Amino acid sequence: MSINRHRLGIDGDGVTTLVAFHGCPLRCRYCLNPRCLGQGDSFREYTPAELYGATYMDELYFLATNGGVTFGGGEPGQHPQFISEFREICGDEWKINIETSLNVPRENIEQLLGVTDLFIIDIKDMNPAIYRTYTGKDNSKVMENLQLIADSGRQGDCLIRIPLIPDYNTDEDRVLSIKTLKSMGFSRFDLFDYIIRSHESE
Amino acid sequence: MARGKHTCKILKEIRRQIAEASGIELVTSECQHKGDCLGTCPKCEAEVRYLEDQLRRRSLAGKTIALAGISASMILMAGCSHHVNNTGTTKFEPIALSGYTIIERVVDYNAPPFDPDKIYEVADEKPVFPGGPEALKKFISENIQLPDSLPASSKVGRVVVRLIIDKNGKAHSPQVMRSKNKELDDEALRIISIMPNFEPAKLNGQNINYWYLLPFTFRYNNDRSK
Repeated sequence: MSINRHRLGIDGDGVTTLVAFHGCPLRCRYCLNPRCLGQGDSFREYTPAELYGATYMDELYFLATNGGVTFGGGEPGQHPQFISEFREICGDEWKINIETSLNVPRENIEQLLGVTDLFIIDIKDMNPAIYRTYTGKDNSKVMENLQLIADSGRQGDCLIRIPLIPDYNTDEDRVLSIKTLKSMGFSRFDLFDYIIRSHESE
Repeated sequence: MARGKHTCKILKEIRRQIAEASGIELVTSECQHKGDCLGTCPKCEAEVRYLEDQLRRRSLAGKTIALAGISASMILMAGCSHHVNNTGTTKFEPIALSGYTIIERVVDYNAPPFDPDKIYEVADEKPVFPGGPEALKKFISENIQLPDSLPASSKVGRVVVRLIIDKNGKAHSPQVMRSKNKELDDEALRIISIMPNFEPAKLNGQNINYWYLLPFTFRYNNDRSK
């Protein structure tokens, strides 16, 4: 787990602290945070109480700006118990945001629904073939969890990120993804492009 | 403008708004640091602690404090300015952003030499309760004593206490940072007073005094906390 303080309107409202979990079930070709997939030497372990102690220093900013803690990764959807315990400690005034692929068991999302203010969903692409090619996994759990969220009436608490992924999908594919998501009641989308740079050039 | 400077400027404005909204005098000065920074520094952090202290005093004195939502619109603008390009879509740079930098220490541009009497807020190794975090939960749970006469609604809540774990591992000088009610506050303080010594925090291999944050969650169903 790693911590990045003072993020401003990037992942959730207001001032947020990003807490990145180690480990992810996907193997995206253009992973945004490949360090989360490595050995984890640069990450340290926290208990929920220790994490609270490490984030409490910014409570004033959280309360003033409607901010809080954003769990990313890696895949925070793999850690519903930790996040639930953290919610119990931090109370209801902090916002808890989850950056997730939703490619986790349904029961994980069921638990997270009770403690999460905003789901920032990295949907990749709704087309199963594109999804599998890009991530190496199928998106059946993603679809199931989207439906779970919709059935819970929580679409308004979701921001769905839909990337244009070079060599994997097109604008037409994104239009189809949005159409499907709108039919499920989702309405907040973040469209963006991946800009590919090689590690060697940095 | 460097990202750190941009962050610093916005956080400073948030602090100014918080102070203004609650009638707190806050004197700030222009940061003189040249080059990159993380958006905060010991001076910025000291201003936050000062505001917290002033807000706590005002709250205890029964004065009104205004906090929530006063800076939301400004933050929103700050976020957008970084990400929307001239085509109206958001550009995101995978890998190159490396947006998950580990920041576990506040940058101190003039780090003082090691001081054995200082109470530190960062350490290489934090204090450890004998047996670890689960043992700490168990200790608290087993030692909670609330009077039967206390109404059920008063037996539920969260109390956060800041205390010193000194270089010998002793817990002392607790301060209630988040209060629920007098009974729960007092019970949290009582439990701290009977705690066994911790394994002290370490910095550069040396035992140090350490500010430790301990949250208590009181539940009514079995009168136990974690």
